[in-house]
Amino acid sequence: MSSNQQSDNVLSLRGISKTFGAVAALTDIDLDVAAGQVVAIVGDNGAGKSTLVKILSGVHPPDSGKIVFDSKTVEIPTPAAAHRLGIATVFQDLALCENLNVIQNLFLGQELRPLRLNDVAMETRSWDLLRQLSAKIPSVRVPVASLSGGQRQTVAIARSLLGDPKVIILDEPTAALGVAQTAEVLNLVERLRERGLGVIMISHNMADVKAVADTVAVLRLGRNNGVFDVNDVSPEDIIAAITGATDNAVSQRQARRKEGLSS
Amino acid sequence: MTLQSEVEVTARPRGSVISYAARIFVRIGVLPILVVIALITFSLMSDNFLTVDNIHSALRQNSYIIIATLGQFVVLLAGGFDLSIGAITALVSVSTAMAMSSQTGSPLSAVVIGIVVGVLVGMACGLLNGLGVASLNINPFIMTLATASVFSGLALMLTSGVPVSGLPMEFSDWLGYGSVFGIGISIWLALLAAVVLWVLLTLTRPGRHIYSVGSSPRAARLSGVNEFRTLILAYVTAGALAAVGAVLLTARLETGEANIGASLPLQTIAAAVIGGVSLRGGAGRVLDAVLGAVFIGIVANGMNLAQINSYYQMIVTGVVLALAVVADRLRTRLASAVYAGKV
Repeated sequence: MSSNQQSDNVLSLRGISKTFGAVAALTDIDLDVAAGQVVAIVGDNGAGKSTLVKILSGVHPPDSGKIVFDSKTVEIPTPAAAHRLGIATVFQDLALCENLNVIQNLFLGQELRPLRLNDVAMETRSWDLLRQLSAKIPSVRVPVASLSGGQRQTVAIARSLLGDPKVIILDEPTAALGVAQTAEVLNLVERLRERGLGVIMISHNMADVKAVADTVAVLRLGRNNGVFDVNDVSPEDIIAAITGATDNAVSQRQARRKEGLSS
Repeated sequence: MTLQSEVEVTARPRGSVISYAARIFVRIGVLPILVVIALITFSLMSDNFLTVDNIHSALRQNSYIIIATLGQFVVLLAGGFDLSIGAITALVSVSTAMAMSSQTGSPLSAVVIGIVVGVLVGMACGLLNGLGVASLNINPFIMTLATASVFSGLALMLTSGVPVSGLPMEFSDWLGYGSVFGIGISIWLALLAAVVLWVLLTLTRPGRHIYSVGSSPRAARLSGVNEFRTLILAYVTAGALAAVGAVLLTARLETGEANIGASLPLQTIAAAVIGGVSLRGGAGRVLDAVLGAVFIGIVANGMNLAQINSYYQMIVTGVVLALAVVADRLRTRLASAVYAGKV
């Protein structure tokens, strides 16, 4: 797996905290993402992954901490501000309008020409984007409701590329997808990396993480609980960091296997 | 466009006669079928039904319903409801008439001032509805039900329930009964309203945003669409269109009435839904709404010519509305099957 990782980070978070009432969703989170690097963020339910995504995508502002994007300290008050900066998010539910067609979804909120929509240019650009992603879409004029899960994910990823972003956040991109569709989406992640984009991928699936990530950042109870190079870490170590326990069912099974092999 | 060939295209199987019929139904909806049935039925019941004069008369009489339906359509598209459209019509009728009758200048200036006042009142009513829905997050059904009571009460309070008379004759002569190229001015205005709305919804960014907010408010918001501004635009547009319809109705009645428009919410929602506009929001075309309103006009006109009691017209409208909602559900299910290649 080639990683054309650069030393300078395109996105850095320092000391990011967020509370909802009495609940501390995130506490002092640090994260670095370089261009051409896939960073997987893993953690149990309630670890703060979704909150982190919402902060980076402009849905929630952080209570404290610093976001550095392209060497500049920035604020992300709204989703539109995130778009303008160059941070694109593909949400877990994809945030697509089912009644609208592929073109209308791709350009939603960033249509070409406000008062006389340039449909021809938007259609051309749509096919161009889909071709770059080797997408299997029957037509850009069909409603999104008629597409399969993998095709919808492709549309959502293609949409995120529209504003030429530098960082793309994928929230559980393979959740609820079949084997073939998952492979399709993981191929798309590889293509994003090849284009030199910084990719943040939220995932529960260790196989997906191992397949495409360069770095794994573990969140536990709203705090950093380790950053690992994917080539130097086993799934058991990651699970141990996620659960906060070195002695768990997975590690025990692994130990038994090792004993069986050595005897 | 050859670009499509460069992307892998997934083919769909061709089907039988049933499959073909399903595809046609998904494309055109239930309205054309209902229109054909109505035309055949009423032309058999009355020789005068399919005459040019009768069709022109029916369209002229129903032009205000067509325009009000366009207003309701915009709100339905944005995922809302406007139950205050009848009360707005009453308040605008009264406001327009009072503004006109109080003028001492030329009839033309009185008519212009009256129309401007009426449209501004309609837009203000729409703005109030929009603020309640978009800013205070009140359910549109409840919000517009509440404002319907307020607007209706205001209209009655301003007039004490007495019709406002003393309108310039020219107002009625021009807008109520005037013609251009042999076609009623009110019909031209309905056509103009439809074209302007089509341009807004199809060719502009705000129009596309109305569709997106109706389809999925969250998706629209996360895509950077200003949901607040979009909802305000939808409700203000509805108020303005209701006002134009009210001005036309006032011109026909030659008085400002506080008691008109009670049946408009049902008629406009029925017209839009019968036309194939989705109650779930985000789906429908201007032509659908216009044809739905025309259909309701055809039914009313046909039943009048056949000398069927007006109470039965209400029953027919209700039954057809229920059938249209069922057809809309069926159409949605079939659409999924057709797109998935199962039909």
